[in-house]
Amino acid sequence: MSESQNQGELYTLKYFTTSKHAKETTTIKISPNGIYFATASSDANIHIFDFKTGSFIRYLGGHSRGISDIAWSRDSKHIASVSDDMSARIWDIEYGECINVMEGHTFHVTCVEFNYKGNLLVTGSADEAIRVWDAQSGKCLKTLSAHSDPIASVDLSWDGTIIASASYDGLIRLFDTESGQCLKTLIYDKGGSSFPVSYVRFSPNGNYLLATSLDNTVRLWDYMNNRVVKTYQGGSGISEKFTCGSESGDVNVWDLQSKNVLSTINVSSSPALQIDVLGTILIAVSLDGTIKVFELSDDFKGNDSDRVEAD
Amino acid sequence: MNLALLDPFAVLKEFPETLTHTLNFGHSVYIKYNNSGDYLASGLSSGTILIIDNDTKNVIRKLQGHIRAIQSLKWSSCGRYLLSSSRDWKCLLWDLKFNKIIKKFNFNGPIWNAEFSSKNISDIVVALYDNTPKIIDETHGIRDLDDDKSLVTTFHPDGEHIFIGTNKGIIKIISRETLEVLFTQKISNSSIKNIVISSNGRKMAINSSDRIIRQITLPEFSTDSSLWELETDHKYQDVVNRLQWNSILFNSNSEYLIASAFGSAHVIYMWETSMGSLVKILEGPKEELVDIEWNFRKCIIGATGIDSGTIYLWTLVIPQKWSALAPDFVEIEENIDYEEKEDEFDIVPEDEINQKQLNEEDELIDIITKDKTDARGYQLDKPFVVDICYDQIELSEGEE
Repeated sequence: MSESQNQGELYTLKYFTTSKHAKETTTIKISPNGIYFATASSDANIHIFDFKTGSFIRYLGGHSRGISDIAWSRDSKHIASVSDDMSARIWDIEYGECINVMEGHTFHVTCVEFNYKGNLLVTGSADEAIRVWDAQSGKCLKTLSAHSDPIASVDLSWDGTIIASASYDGLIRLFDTESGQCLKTLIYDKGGSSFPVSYVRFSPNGNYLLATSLDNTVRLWDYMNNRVVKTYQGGSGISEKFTCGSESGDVNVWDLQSKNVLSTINVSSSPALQIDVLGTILIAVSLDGTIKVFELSDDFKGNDSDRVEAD
Repeated sequence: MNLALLDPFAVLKEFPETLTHTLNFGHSVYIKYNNSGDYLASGLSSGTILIIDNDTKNVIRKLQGHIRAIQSLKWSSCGRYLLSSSRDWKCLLWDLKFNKIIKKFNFNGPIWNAEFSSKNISDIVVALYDNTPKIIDETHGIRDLDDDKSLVTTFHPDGEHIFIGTNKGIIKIISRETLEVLFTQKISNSSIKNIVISSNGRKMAINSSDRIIRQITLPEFSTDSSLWELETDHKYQDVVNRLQWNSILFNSNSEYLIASAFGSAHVIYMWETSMGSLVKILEGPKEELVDIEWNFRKCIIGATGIDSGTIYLWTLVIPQKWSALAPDFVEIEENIDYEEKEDEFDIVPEDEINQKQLNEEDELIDIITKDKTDARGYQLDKPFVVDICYDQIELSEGEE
């Protein structure tokens, strides 16, 4: 696709709304069935919205401190949340109740992810450990001493057998979900120093890892061969904590193969914190609480697969 | 996907060697893994069936419908349906998606085993105690399969042929389509307790109460059935103690055969099937093992204990690769004389290196297409997932 194409054709704004959180919104996630989206905030609450209309449905309260990350279960009926109160919780959306509290981390919990079967919950924490929980019983199955600095992000491969973690110590590590063993360590330390890694995602087929680091760069790793296959730059200042937005309040869309910035979607004048994509719909939230929902154009539908829709 | 990153020599081991888990959820009498190896169905002596998650080793479903001990369990190849038979004279077909019984068959006597064909879950064969074997299908309901009493019936993996083992030691092969007896042969002088057929359909093992396991190569079914012959390739028996065998099983490529023995043996014997030699004895618990099961994908062997009803699991223990802990660590067999490269200490401006690297990133990357098979050669696909009830399941006394 040529860069000269009118950016207005790449996306259309469906609607926007403002978060009702008392403090800044930290994350936004669309439910897998496309019926809801949820936001979490430093005010220790989770808000559930109707994804079609953007109307507020209910709030989930129970954490005593700010929430850093949330994850939807595969049935779209439950949400897992992690908080600075050192706990992870599982919530029932329908009844608005907390049905499980998982305690064990010794410092702020920063990130959470379900595996695709929904039986395991993986959390990463500022206590430098990753924990794997039995999502049903709430028992901690494993504690992985993973990094030497806070863990910023965790993700699981599509089949759930590998956990990837990114940390402020500059390393990306891969772990075997079953045994808890470290499988691989990746570091980008050209020039003798490495930048903290703030976000990590597996590619849909699980063969590549997309990672953002605080040197304003997104890298695509071929982890089997320990090498970076694509470097994406030109995002105007990726925010420190959340990679999926930039400090200028824009969301950048890159072409996976050519590494060109295809489109810059403005969310707000304050930093964009988190985005989520379901099909061709993109949702973004910024630090000032603006939530915007965009419909990406047919060009994205056509080969959605060829594009990186992060940051 | 994790297998590709583990030590290949450890991953490609064909059988597990170490007893690592003991699961105590009630008195288990029959266990069966689903095809993907994610879930273990455990039939209890109380008639309850528990679905145990292999990741968490915890109960995620409790199926209540039987009131006597479970006799057999069979998963559908998709993993959504489960067929159970019990001593309460009932045979139930469960749908795990909606957590309910979708078919129920009552017989006028206890059941030895029930099984559906791998092709069609509506085709069910049942062996009854002191009665003739039955076949159930959608159009005809329940029909007699044969005139003789049998102890075991099973489908060949092709779904076209049914094998029956009688209490007189006779093996019969019946056509699924016509229900005509294609072939009859007396194999042993005592009753036939189990028939197992390898997943490729080429080998069969027969456990008879004359304390001998016979391994037989099956004939080509496309040929005339009058030319078929069942020739015993190997006989396995305990020559010293003359023990009865409780349960027998092939591995996925039928290179190995395992069996649990009656009485004080407390072990699982493993033979290699081409030469017929004993290759391994899996030791572990201090009780007799009854039912055995092999999870091919995850390389786990499971067995139930007769006294406690505990499930014992033997798994592969893969050592940590130290080279995984840092990108520049390499594991080497012996010392290597390091030779400095010509340009190793050349000073090149950093910008130049970076630019060069960026320019080299022009290959086409495919982030969508998934690998078809895993490192062990099994199909990689997303199988049926049993939904998790995040509200905890109530387990009754003895199941905890």
